[in-house]
Amino acid sequence: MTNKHILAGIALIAGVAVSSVAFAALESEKPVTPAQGWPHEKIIGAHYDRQAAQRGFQIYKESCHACHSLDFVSFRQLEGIGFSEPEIKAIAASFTVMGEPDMDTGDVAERPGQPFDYIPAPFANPQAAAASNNGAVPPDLSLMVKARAGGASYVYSILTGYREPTADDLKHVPGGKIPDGGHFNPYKSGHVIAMSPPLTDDLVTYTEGQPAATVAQMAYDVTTFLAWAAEPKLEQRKSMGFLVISFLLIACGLLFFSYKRISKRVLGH
Amino acid sequence: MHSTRPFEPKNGFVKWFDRQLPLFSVLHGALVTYPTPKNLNYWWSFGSLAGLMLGVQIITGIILAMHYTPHTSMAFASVEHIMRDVNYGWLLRYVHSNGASFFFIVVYIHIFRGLYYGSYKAPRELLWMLGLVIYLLMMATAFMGYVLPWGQMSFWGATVITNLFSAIPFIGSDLVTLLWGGFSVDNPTLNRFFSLHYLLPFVIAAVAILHVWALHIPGSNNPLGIDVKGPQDQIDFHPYHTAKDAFMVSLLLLCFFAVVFFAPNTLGHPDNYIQADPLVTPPHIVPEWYYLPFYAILRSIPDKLMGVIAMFSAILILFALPWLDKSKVRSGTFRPLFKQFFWLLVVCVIVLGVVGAKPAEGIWLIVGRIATAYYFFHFLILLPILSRVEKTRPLPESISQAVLAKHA
Repeated sequence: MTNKHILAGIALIAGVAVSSVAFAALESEKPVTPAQGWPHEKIIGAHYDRQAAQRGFQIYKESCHACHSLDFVSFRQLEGIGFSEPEIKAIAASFTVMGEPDMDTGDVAERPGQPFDYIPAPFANPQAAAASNNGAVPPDLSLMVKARAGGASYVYSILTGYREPTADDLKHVPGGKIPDGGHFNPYKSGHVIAMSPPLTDDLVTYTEGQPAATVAQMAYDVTTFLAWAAEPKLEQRKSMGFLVISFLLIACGLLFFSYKRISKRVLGH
Repeated sequence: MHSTRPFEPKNGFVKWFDRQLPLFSVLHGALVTYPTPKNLNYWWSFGSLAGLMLGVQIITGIILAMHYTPHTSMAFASVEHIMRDVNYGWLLRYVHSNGASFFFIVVYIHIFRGLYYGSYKAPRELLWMLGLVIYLLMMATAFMGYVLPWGQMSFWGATVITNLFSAIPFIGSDLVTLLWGGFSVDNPTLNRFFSLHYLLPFVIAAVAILHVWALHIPGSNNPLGIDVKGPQDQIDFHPYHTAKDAFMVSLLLLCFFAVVFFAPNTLGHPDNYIQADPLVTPPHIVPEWYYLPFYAILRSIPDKLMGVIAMFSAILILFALPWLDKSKVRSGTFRPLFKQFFWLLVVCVIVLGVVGAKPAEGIWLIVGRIATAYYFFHFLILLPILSRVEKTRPLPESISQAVLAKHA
């Protein structure tokens, strides 16, 4: 066998390896991006839609918070989605948090929240959360958008993706049927999700002048809020990145020409 | 190759200092008058770039350690504290986590440059082996660093990789207990990994100094792979290479910061934004991308012990490379067959990387096994045979002649 044959053989193997990428089975449906797009996913001028994020916070507070914690978000941070200081004080005071031990008696009493408090969890501990939710602990939502492949579009797709499974759908479900307490959702890996459909039209009442509270609109709003909660420094990061990259592009050009000039001087070419 | 020109400082303090400790002389000889072959191409800049990335990692790492808490109940939250509350903490952390990836990208290019141009051959065997020691230390350091955020991939990656040592006969399970500091990956594991993750970069820095020292004795190899014949073949490091490296640094930073600022989580796994849970195993446990080729080799062998041996051998055989490839011609440019097989090796390693990220089943297992077989075949059988039978192309008389011919 000549070297050419060996090479051809190995090239064939490499070809098989590369083309077999196409055989990778799809675990779940590809997340859809809503028509509005995600302004925070833009490269230049990336920003969170403040109005959507504030509506999203309303949905989180009035609905999601019944089961899901948001451990890493404090009330003061809500400034990041455009709430004013008095608004934040009022929002914080509408939650009840565990206070500090009394200086004289050591008794701990509940008190209204303050801006420096973190959003209190709905359950005292994971066991309590599991006990109220069919044995499954509803995950913390602080990092949900970063903790799933597909990010914001994945979360949006899950929220809007509930439907009655067809016979064909059920073929993709392990065991061929939806287990008790489960729900069909084509975007979820394994297609079965424990959470019942969390959004219904007019679940919350938006203030005057806001869009109608449809499932799609609410999913968009709450996902925008959760995207902010997961990455609150995104706007600062991308705007700084624009300056850094602009600077480096200029620096790159200048350094290239100074290198060429020095090369000409010391090497002659 | 030492500088032949003596260092003659004008400053009185430098003169006084250098008489008692020739630190300035050494630095001047290494960074200013170090004679390099005239014909080095851009690929030769990646050594400097690797040094830069080590510096970036050490500086950002030291500052991150000021805000991080190595405890299983607080580590994940302390990383989020860095991301949300520490001034520019998000920047420090994204630079550090992506910095590890870019350090590996730079080092992989540096290694493959050495493989193509025969930089591992005499008189630079020790230089090559010191580089491999740095690479092994980087693997250990990065592995332990990935455990620190205490996400799901941190925890399960640590569990899978430390468990590999249990395959070692007789002492395996005791060794794993020692690594863990207990009977599972837990707080003692996190503590010792944090301690070692802080220590090892300084060991890397020390070996890197030896690596540069061992470079400066024989001098740099070059794209023609022929020896320097005299001063006409050479040029001082400064200003030529300082200018060239500065340009390459800006180019590297351009790519690096594009990722840091616009796609900082692309190279990471989403599962690592879920706090570690010993009771929930992720469906696919994947290591960081820079380990994937070796992970693929590990999983392509059906036997656990043999798999571990194969994985470590894949790196260890590189230590024997100077003696496996006996060809007198260093540069791949003049080795027509070697050159083709070199690119095949590159493809093979990339394929192994893809396979390492996929579940070990079906077609992936077969592709992984073929690529693993080729990897070992390349180094253990092909290179020794090739170096005997290959007809190499004629080498140029000298570096300066080749440079003149090129620019005539």
